[in-house]
Amino acid sequence: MARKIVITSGKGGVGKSTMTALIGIALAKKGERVALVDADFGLNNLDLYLGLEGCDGYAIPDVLAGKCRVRQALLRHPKYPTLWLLKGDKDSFPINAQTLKGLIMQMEGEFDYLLIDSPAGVGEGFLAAVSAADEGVVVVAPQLSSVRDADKAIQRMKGLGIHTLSLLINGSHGDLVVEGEEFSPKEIAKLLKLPVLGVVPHIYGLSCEGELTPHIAVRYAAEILRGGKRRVYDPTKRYSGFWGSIRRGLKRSL
Amino acid sequence: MGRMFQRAYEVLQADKAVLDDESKAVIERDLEKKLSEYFELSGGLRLEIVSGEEGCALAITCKVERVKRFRILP
Ligand SMILES: Nc1ncnc2c1ncn2[C@@H]1O[C@H](COP(=O)(O)OP(=O)(O)OP(=O)(O)O)[C@@H](O)[C@H]1O
Ligand SMILES: [Mg+2]
Repeated sequence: MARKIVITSGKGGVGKSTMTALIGIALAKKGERVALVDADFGLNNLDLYLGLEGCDGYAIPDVLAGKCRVRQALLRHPKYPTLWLLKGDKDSFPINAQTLKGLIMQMEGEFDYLLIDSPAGVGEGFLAAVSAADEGVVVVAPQLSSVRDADKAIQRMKGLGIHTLSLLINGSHGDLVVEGEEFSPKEIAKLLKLPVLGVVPHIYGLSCEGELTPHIAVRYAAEILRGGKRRVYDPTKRYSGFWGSIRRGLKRSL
Repeated sequence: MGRMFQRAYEVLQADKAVLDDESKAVIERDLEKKLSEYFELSGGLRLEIVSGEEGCALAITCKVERVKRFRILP
C-alpha cells in the first residue's frame, strides 16, 4: 500500500513542485514505485519540472469526468521507469476533498509512494490535497513570511488529523546562515516544532536547467523518507572555518 | 537564538493568540478581583493563551505577597 504524502507550504513559490519532482526522481532511482499527483489545478508545473510538458495524455479532470480510467491517465517517465505522473490541468478546476481522495485511493495499491503536489495557500485546493494524504512534507524557505505561512498550514493539517509531518527547508544560503543573516535550519525547526527531513541549498540557476537532477541534499531527504540512514545536508559547512570565511568574503565581494 | 528568531517567535505566537487585547484585559481584571479574595496581590496579573500542539494552554502569572486567611465552611 502506497504512502500518501502531501507536499505543501502555505506560501507560494517556495519550491513545492520542484521538491515533489526531485524527491520523486530520487525515490524512483532507488527503485521505488512513485506516482506524482499534480493537485495544483490551473498553476500546474510538475510536468515541466519532469520534462514531460510536451507529452499529451489525459489529466485528472478527464478521469473525474469519466473520459478515462486513472491507469490510462498515468504518464510514465521515459528516463525513470518506476516514476509516473498524474497530470493536473492548465485550467483551474474545482475539486473537493472527497473526490481527490477517492481518486488517490484507486492508485494506492500500485505504488510505494504517492506524492501530492499541493497548491499554495490554505484554501479549497490545499484542503483537497491534504485530505487525500496521510503524511505531510512542509516546504519552507528561510524567510519569516514563509515560516509564518508554513505554521498556519501545519496547524490546519494537524486539525485535519495529519500528524506525521516534517520540514524540507529549501533555498538555504550557507554563508548567510553563518553570518546570522538568515534563519538556520535549527531555528526553523524550533519555531515550527517539527523534525527536519532535509535542507536544500539555494541552487544557482536551478530554474534554468532543462532537466532536474536531485542534489545530494534531496537524495539525503529521500533516504530519510524511505526509513534509511538519517543524514541532513549542511549548507553552512563550506562557509565555516578558515576557508569558509574566505569563501564568504569572496561571495560578498561579487 | 538571536533577534531574528525572537521576532519570528513573537509573530507566530501572536498569530496563534485566540483572544484580542480588549477581551484579555477584561478577563485579567476579573481574575485579579477573584484572586484578591484569597491572595494579597502585588503588581498586575498577566494572562497568556497559546494554542499549541494539543489545544490551548492558559498561563496566569501574578506576584503574590501573601495568602489571605479565609475560612472554609463545612
Ligand atoms: N533550491 C532552489 N534553488 C534555486 N531555485 C529554486 C530552488 N527551489 C525552487 N527554485 C525555483 O523557485 C521557483 C519556484 O519553484 P516551484 O514552482 O517549485 O514553487 P512552488 O512552491 O511549487 O510554487 P507554487 O506555489 O506557485 O506552486 C522555480 O523557478 C524553481 O526553479
Ligand atoms: Mg507548485
